[in-house]
Amino acid sequence: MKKILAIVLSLCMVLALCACGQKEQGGTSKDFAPDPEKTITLIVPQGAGGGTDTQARQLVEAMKEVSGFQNIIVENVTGGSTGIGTNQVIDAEADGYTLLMYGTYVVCGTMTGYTDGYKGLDFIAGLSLEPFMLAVKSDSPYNSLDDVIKAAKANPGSVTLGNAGATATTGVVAYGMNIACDNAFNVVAFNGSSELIPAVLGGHCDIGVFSQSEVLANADGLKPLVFLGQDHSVLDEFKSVPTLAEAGYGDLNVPGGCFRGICCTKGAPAEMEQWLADTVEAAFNSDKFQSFLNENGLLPQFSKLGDFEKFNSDMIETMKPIIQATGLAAGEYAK
Amino acid sequence: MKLRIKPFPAVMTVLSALYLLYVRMSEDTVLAADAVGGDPGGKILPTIMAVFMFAGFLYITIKERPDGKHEEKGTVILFLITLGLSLVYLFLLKPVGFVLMSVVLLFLLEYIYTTIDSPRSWKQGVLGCIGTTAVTAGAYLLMRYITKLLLRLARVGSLPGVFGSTVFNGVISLVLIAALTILFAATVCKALKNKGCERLSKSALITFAVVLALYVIFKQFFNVNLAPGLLNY
Amino acid sequence: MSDFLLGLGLVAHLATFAWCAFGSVLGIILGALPGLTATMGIALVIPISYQLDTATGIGLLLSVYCGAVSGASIPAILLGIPGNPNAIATVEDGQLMTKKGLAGQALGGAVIASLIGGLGSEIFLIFFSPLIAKMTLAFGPAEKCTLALVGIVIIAAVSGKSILKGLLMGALGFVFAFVGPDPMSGTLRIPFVEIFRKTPLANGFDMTSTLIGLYGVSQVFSELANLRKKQNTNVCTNIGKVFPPFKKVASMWQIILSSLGIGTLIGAIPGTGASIAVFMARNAATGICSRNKKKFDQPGTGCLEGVFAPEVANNAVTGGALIPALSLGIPGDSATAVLIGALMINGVTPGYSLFSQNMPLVYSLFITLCVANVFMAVFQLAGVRLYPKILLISQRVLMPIVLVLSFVGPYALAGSSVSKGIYYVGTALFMGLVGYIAKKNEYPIAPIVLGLILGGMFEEQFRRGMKLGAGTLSRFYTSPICWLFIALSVVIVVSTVIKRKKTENAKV
Repeated sequence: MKKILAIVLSLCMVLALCACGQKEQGGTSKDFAPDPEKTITLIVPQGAGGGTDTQARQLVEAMKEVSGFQNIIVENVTGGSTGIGTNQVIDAEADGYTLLMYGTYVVCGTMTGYTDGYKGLDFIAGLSLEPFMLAVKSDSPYNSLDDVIKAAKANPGSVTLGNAGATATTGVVAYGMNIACDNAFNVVAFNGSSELIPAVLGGHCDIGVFSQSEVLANADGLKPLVFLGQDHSVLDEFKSVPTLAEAGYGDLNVPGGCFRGICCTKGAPAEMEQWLADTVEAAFNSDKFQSFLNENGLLPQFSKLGDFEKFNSDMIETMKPIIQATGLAAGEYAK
Repeated sequence: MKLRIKPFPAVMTVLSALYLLYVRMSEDTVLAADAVGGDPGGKILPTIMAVFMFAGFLYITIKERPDGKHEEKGTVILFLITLGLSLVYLFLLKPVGFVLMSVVLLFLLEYIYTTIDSPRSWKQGVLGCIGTTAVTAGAYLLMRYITKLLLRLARVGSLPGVFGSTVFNGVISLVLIAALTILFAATVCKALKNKGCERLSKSALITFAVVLALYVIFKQFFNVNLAPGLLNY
Repeated sequence: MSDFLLGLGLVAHLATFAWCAFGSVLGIILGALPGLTATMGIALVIPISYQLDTATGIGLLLSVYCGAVSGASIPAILLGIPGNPNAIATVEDGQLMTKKGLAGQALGGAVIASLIGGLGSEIFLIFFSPLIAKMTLAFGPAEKCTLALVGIVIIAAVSGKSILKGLLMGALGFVFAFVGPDPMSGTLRIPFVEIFRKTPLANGFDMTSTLIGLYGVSQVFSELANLRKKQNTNVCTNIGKVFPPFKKVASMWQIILSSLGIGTLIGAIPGTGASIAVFMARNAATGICSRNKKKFDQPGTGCLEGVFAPEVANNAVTGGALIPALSLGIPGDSATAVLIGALMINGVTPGYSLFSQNMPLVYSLFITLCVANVFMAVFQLAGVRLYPKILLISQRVLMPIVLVLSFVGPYALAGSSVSKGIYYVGTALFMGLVGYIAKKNEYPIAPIVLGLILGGMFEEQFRRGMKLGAGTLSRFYTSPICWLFIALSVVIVVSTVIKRKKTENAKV
């Protein structure tokens, strides 16, 4: 029995030694490419099937195609107002194999104290901006933003304004509107857009803050009132929807859409970050991804390895007063 | 002195009361911005549940009397061993790693459970555990060595691209495990069996095959990041 | 008609059938292993489906989905551990049938029930999709809240000997559900917030880990006493007939229809899920059986009726969940959420435009769903003689493997994060202890799981309903659907109490 054990143990050691030797040889290749044994995980801090998730999956497929590296997966980590997924990336090993589908929601999560947000992340690439719209049920008596605001002010609390979650970006839009209208609305937070859409379609909630693609998918049931982006929508269907300024509320300062990009854990090796940024760029420029952006009315906003602060400062300035007024702000943002 | 009330509902009554206190003392979770409209807040339902549980368990505590059934001592010991090993597994999983911890947990439980009616030797159990761990670790490293080699060869182009896919490597690993299991059964386990340690050899074989198969299924096919721990290769 | 033929043309390739077969087998395996879910399986084959023709790719995704839902019944029947929440209600009668030596019939019956459920709900999907989609829009927060109430009352009524104990365990499940972020504001409701706010605990108890803990881990603890008894070496290897007699199945038409309707409708309401549907179906079946005692056995005694009802319902949920997914682009459960994402990657955008612009594709989807269901049944039936071999393994050998599997399952759910995986394993162990203590004291454990699932939904929808009604209950009392559900809850409680009183008096 002891003999057998001794043989087995020595066998293990020999194998382990061989293995170590092999590893050292492998590390010195000239052209950088990720370790084929490892898996790149793109964490989407939101549920599967939503706009963020779909874009992430499109991007990953395009990345696989352009790089030939097959071990890239998407993982949905929900909860904590996207903070749980963001924290998972921040706490991951800083090797560049754990990526985050970054978005305006991470800024919200940072300001509400769920996560350290961008302070623990390195920026890889910016992708797109998805504009928001306000919409009502198609047979609703309201035909413009003005109608809605007047009705709300005439009888405060009687008009319900739905959003995809209190700490989601659409939630910030809703609270921001409400503050500008002296709390005339009854702002109701739903659990993601998959609950908000049927509530508005079914007449349980009067108005909803949607992203453009959600209104597009339910064009028959929803009537868009106002487009929150800078200019008009690039989609033919929504060309005629007025912007905030045209609706007469140009001074209403709320986030106009959800910015999305890719980040990784802070301190990842520079060559890995460069590889990632190049791969994302090639994937972004692929025909499939471009046509995906066009079909869904997303505005391309590509940039790579840039400075985080530059992107975030505008967003933080816009959202800070709103988040403070909701009583959700935490840490430095509460002051 | 014999307890005249059942412990479970009594403990639950106390816990419900504590939960009620906790709920009432914590801050409310309504948003400042939700001043208009009427969110009833995040404390109302917990309070109702706490009161309901307190009342219900109190009623049962008063109404029901213990039936005098007791767990046998042997079962209690088995329970404590199982619980203890599970806790060790839980806390050492990250530093030690999935493969090693699973081998230890599975082997010890197999050995202890299968020797319930027969005399069990602690020395045999511990030695068997160390031996099984070593053999499984060896097989694991061999398997990883081969799949890594295949991946590398596929990457530099010495082998067709199909060898570079994870699913293909998973299949190869499964075949390899099957072969190693047969080999292990035919050599070491047979030798142990001939020496009269049949239970030991069976436990070792089951542990070996199950842990490696779980590893391949979860890690290589489904990309689950099983904690590598000490065998970080 | 030409649209239908075009659709058929999209499907009729050998590749479609080959991939559907592969998907079915993969789905059944995923369903049978605790911790691997339909959602995970669909996410897994997305990259493959992307490489295939659209119709073939969708066929692959649907096969995995159907297979995973029905495969969960295998461990539920044989070991008493549901592979995923779809099979919770199958456990009781399935396990009893296995103990009676009727494992083959239970497994075979479950497959046939799944096939009926899958195909039946597909008929609803094909013919009534727009209508049902409109009906589900009537379910706002207030209606969903009362639906959750019905779910929890049913489970308290059907499990255990005392409805009070069932309700108390349901309340315990609710309390577990209250741990974590507040559903409306996202404020954390955990002790020592400052310490735990960035740990996985901040997200509360994970549902599937809890399920595996309560059924898998607690099972091992409870079996310890039996392990010490003399082991029964000659386990019944004769599994009995695999196919339940046709006459028996035909005689259950009422049960099948009610389960089919319940499964399809509940599946179509977003944010509800199979776990309510299976218990509602089983409760409806109990009602039908108790009214016709001569013709039917009573669910809860280990009979085919108790397996059939939930198994028809959970596969009916698959067709039901596709109704809002395809017609509104709104997922009915998490698996269809991934499916929608996968469809969009495959170039199909669900919503009104799908039905108005791309009818051939819709037909091809219906046809592949049908193929997926048939393959699921064929492959699962093919293995029925094989699965019960697991029972030949001695409990002493099997239990450690069950324990390790119950730890690996929750761990796998956590994906790439090791510390989250360990938290999930901890959840499973904790819940295993809770389940063990509850079982030992003769409290039912099913209400804890349902309480955890429905508690979150109940609170969220209740508060949203109140908020929509500007702080009043107006959304509740103005809705006839709410009144119906509340009345149903009261009827269930009262009738259960009266029934129990009667049987007690009869005994005395």
